[in-house]
Amino acid sequence: MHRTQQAQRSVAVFTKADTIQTLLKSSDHRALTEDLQPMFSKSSTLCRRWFIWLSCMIPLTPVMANDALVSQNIDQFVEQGYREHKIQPNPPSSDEVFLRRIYLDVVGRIPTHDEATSFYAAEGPNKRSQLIQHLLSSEGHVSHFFNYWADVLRVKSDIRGEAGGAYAAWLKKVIGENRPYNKIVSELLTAQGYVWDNPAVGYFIRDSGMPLDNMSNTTQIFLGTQLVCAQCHNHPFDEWTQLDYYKMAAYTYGVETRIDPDSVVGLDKLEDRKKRRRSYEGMDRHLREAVNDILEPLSYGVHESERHLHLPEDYQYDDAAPGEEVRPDTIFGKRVASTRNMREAYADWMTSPSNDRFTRVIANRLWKKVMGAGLIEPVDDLKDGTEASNPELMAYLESQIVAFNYDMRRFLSVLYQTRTYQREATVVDVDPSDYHFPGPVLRRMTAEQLWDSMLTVAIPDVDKRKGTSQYLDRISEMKERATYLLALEPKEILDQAERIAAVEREFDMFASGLRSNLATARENGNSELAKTLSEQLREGEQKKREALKVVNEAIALQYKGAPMKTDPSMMKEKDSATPSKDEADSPWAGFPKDWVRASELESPAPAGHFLRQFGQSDRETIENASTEPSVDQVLTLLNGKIYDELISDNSLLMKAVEMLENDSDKQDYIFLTLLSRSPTNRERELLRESMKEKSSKDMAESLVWALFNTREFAFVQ
Amino acid sequence: MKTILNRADELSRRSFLTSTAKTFLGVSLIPSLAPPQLFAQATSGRPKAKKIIYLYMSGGMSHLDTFDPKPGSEVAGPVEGIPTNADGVVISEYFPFLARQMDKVALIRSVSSTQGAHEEGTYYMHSSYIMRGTITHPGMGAWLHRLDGRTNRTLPTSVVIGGSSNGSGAGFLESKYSPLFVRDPNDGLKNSRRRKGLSEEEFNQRLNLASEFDRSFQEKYDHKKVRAYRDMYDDALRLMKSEDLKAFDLNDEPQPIRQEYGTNSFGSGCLLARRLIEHDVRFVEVTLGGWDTHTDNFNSVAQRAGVLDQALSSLLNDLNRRGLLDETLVVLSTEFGRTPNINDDEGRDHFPKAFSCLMAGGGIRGGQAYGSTDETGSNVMENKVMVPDFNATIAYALGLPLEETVYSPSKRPFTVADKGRPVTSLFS
Repeated sequence: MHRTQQAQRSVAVFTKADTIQTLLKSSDHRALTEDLQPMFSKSSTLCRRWFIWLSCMIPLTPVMANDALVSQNIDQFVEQGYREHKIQPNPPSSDEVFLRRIYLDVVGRIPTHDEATSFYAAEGPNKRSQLIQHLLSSEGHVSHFFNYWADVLRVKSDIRGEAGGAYAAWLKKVIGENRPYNKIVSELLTAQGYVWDNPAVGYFIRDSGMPLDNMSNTTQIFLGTQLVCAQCHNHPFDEWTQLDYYKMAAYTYGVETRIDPDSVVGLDKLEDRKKRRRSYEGMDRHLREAVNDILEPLSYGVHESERHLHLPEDYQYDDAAPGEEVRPDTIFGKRVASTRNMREAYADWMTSPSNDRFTRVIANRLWKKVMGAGLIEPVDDLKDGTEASNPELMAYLESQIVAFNYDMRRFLSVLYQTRTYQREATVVDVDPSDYHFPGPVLRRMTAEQLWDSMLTVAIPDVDKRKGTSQYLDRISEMKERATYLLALEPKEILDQAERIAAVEREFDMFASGLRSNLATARENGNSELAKTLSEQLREGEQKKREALKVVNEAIALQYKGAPMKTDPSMMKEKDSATPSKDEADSPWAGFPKDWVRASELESPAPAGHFLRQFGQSDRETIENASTEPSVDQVLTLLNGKIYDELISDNSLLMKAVEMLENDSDKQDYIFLTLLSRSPTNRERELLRESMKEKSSKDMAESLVWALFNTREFAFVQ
Repeated sequence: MKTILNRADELSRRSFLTSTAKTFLGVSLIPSLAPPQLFAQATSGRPKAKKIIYLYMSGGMSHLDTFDPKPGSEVAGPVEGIPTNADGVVISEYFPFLARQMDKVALIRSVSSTQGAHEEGTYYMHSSYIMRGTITHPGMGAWLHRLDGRTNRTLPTSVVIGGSSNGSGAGFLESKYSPLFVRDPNDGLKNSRRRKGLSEEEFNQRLNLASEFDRSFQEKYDHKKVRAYRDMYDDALRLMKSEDLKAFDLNDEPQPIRQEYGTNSFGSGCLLARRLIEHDVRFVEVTLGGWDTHTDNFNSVAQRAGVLDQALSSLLNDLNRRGLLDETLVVLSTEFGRTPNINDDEGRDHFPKAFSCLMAGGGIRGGQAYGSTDETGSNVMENKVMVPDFNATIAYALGLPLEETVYSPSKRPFTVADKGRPVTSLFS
């Protein structure tokens, strides 16, 4: 509280000192470097038109004037920090460095050749500012910001049938709408129903069966408060007790993500099933599995039960008894009335602007996203005594994100407009916990930035290319399938399941004796017999698969038939809306279907994918992405299949290069595409020397390959 | 009593005192965990193991349904026990193949962890240290490399197959100690050959060009990560020239062997592990996931166990046949066990207090079950092995100096298994 007041006082001082006019004029603008000049004389009228259009689209509004002032204030706080810590700020960044960085930071990929030339050709003091606004409202930003949140929220698109995919699609949608952060969090914490009712239920379904982990992840992500150690014992390094943990967990313990599908479709009413408490009690495993498969779409959703949380039986502290029922209570801040809906109370408490940590965490997170290090590090382990490296700045950022009503895009824009951000990156290693922001931190591109940048080189209109799984479209289909299932009689469901179970049962009987004989044969070293037996086993498996396929197809026909019967036109429409690789008139004809931006692929990408190699999070733990180097990354850059697309005749870059006449133009084009700059004189010299005996095509391939294998490509300056 | 308390760090001391000490303190724990003096004497006869194959059961493997069954009791669910070729050692019915290999195996039924969440538990099991927000600790492969060097000059010293586990990386050590991660064992080592049609001369010319183009950037940014890529390029280029690359190619294995291990990715991973060990890779980790059985425990465990049973029994058999078992320590571990209580979804939840792991080969005396739990599998009754003790036992088998301090860049001191003590009685 005290700190905030202090910050506001200093703001008032700045406001008097600087008028909006001088503020806007002060933004850095440098002449183009000599190297680049010749290129611009060639640049098309298209580029100029693009920039004029851009300027018209974004008139200077009162909001922007205010925001420019906020950026200015932030710089003042940072510069106060320089004086206190005797730090020399880094020099302002050149247009080339700025351009490449702002594209990577905001839209998650390098600029295309045309985007780069347009920017370099543009004039006027506001060109950087206008570009920032333009990029923040582009489709590319949604893609990039989704990747960020998917890492934080551990979004898995393949969990629980289609629930994960629908949840991921919802997240993209709300990012695209720029829904306020506090609203998003609140919606995640209070969502109810099946995924087709509200895809935000994915937040709880993600942690199905782990309600305690879900709570500690929630406090870690949104409050930067780590309770996880207190799950089993009092926290050793923080103030939290195990009882605190349980009290917090009690708010959401009633949330159930499993819905008993048997009762939904009335299976539990069948006489012979009532008696059994557990499926293995006199129950056929195969039938159970088959029923579960069929009913899977109906078995996940969020509903609230009367389930109460109890302390563990081995609870060891004096403040409560083992096994005692726990009533919900908050760990800090205001208490919430216990008469209300528990989850709403929990969400309101968590996202309240008066909950300091909620605001501090998001302000600090976004600062880190922009600058490369937080004012508080780590961002998700705040304690009572935690001090930001620049407390006045932290307090000011908090006050501003509240003033912006948690509008993340606007807040990011303010940060990108600062002098601080627009300086050169620091050239030495930084200790994030003791950094005073002479400039942003040098970072290796994230896996997603690398992948998306690679695609930018090869694929036209890369931001527009969509993946094959359009979950938002499929949600209505899911609902219809569920409706179909609900209309079936319990007996009909059992009959379908029995057909599958019969196949599995028969195979099991066949295989069990065979396996035991096989084991004996192997130990006795009787390889002839072992070979015969394992062949028999394999044949059996093959037969089983075939039989299952026939049964499943017959059943699926009824499922898949359902939406067709009700609305045959629907399927057709969808097909034409989804561009296919095979269509010759598609801008993406000839490119593999999975060469789409990372955000359009499944989350996480499958193990072994380029994205995973370069450190995309496995989505198991919060912010688990990595930018550590590895041998297999290097092998991919040296010998990988990526070059099949990058240097194919179909590649965007190669087509453009092909059109150019002389080698030096080609080389310039490739440099500008990959590194967003022209070659230096020394580099031109080198190229002349090493390429003189090569065909144009070989030259282009070699150059693309060489530039991909530079750190300058992979790091964000 | 004092020595035992001293060996524990702050956290385990607390839980030690309050929850578990009452049950056995001063009874059987002390003799099995060698104090430093004893341990120093014991080093004369060792080490036997040169390499390690580390099988990690990710998600938390139910001890009750695998290696510490309680047939017929309330907590057992439908799971029966079966006898094995080791006298008196009974394991779950899900392991018919492994039951015939138990003479090579030492079960440890008294492992105990302080970490009950996946991330933290996995990290602790791999690194012996509790996860912190401020530092990452190395895994065993990186420790082995750091403390004892590499034996193959071109192949990496440690390889992790099938996904990286939390805590299995190089941690604060330099990135050259990082394991090589192989996602799919059937792919072998992807991209280890030059692209088709690219001559060696042309390849080298391109490399040269790349380093010329990058010179000013690398001169300007003196960053650890920028430099680390240079090391990785060196390693990658050396690897491309290595004679031993064929170790990564499972296609060299006859079909019957591949069938024996199982053609699933864990089975193939175990087979690849054996090939790499033969080529002097020193540490190979293979992960089998899917053990987080909060729902439908019995079906899921049966399914996972089937995969494990086939692969592990084949691996032991195969190593033995090839005379590699003595120098290769095979370890099976997991982040925690699962609750004796069966929940409403027929699942079991996380249970770090007592669970089972196993070791074989590398000088381990097979045919024994070390430690035990009570009749419900809830508490360790004798010979408790805390996670650092478990890792100290691995380090002991490999002949690593348990007392040697290695400093992090921030000058904090660390040892290979924190303050764990090896369970020397597991060895013959």
